[in-house]
Amino acid sequence: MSKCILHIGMSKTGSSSIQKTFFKHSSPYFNYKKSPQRLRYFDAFGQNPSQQLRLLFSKKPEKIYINVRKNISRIEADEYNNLNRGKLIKFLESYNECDVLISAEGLGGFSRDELESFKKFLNTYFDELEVVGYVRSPKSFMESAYQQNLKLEIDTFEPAKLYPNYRKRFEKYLDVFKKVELWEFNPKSFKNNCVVSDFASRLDIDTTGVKIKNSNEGYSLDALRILFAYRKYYGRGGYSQDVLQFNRDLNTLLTRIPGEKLKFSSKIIAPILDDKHDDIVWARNHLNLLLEENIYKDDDVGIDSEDDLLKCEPKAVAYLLNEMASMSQKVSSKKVENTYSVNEILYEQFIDMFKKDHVTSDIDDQNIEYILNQVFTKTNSSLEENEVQKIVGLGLFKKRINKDGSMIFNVNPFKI
Amino acid sequence: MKPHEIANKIKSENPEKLEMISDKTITYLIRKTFQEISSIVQNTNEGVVKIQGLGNFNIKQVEINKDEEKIIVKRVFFKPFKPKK
Repeated sequence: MSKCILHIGMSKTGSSSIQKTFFKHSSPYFNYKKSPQRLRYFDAFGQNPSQQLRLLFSKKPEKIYINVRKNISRIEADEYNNLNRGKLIKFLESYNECDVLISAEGLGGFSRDELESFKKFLNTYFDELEVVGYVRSPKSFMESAYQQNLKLEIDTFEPAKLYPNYRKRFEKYLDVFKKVELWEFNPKSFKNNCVVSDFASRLDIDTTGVKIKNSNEGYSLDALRILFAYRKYYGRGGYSQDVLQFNRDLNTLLTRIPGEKLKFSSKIIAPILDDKHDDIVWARNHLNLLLEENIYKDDDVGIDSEDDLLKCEPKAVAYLLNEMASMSQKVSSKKVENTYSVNEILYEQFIDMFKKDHVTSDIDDQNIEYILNQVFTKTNSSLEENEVQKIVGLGLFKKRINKDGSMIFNVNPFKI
Repeated sequence: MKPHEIANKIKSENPEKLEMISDKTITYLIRKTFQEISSIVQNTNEGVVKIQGLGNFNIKQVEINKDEEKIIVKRVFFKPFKPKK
């Protein structure tokens, strides 16, 4: 009897930490504490299979946002899906003896029909299907979702748009799947305040020797104020290499600004909850969860308007300006030496390049980094072993030993 | 050494880790990586191109005598990255 456990999030409930921990474990297999059966993490599409599964079971994959943004035609979308269908089937046929954990919080966008066809597909491989997930109360969900969206690219202050719409999100799962288990997302009640430990313990998965990975460490409110002002008055700035690099540098600097996290005051939250009263009652009745929270507890520090969010803390701004000035000094000192350049290429830049390439865009970042690391290690070992070595695509390398015994190579680079 | 040979080596050493990525895709990824590095080295007249995990390409303009005439040529030297032990 093999079982498929489908972890559906919801988003902002530690899904990335769960996925990262299971995906990065030295073996994709896990043991149960009380059962001899083994569990395998579904890693056919990398750490998080949400996007590939969403497209694969969509009736109109070309209309899904990611494809619309990339201007992908129906034919191209079908080709991509065929490739992924092959990978999915190969995986499920290879591991049909053990249980499989599919963690994909992005499946909430499925229509009921699409979810039915996904279930039908899974039913051909498993004896049992179980849907699990955490549910987060509305205020804390909106606070977390707002900061995530701001980090990505939004430049507006519309918390109401981030209300989690429980019925739309979960009703179809309750209707389509027989076994759905949803837990309230309450980190204070988790063992070691850790969602990964809580998740594993609820599913009886043995985490002995498993290294817990945490993801999505958030910004402080002071950092978010600056980011919001930047997004609002400057925008995202496009997707060129320079802008991507700038955003990465900005992200690094912002994460260093300490302080409390973003909270919304009841002035923002109360009208939203009034408006969504029926949905919350539905969630309490059908999901059997309390979803209770004190919406007034953060009123003394909570953000109550867009203007309030724009009140940047002078000390944080001064810190950022100082850091950015030293960053631009480094850049300008490189530019002065016009003929002599120092160019450092990091794994991240290769990963960015491969993410934009249709052949490799679905490979997980960690796998790209792993492959690059292996390629470079193997290339260097091969160079060290041979006097002359031709690396196809890179160049012809001739070994030379310096007086101090160090190794250096004369290179005849490959001509493009 | 060809990209597909490197791909085969990587895959055979850890088949479980990369089982869902085809040999063809890994070969493509290697070829593109080398192409990108070659292109950066080619477009640098003088300086250092540091590739994380691989090493440093040191690019120099060197004066040489050719047919009794002094000319400037580009020379590329490579120093492999040594992982810390």
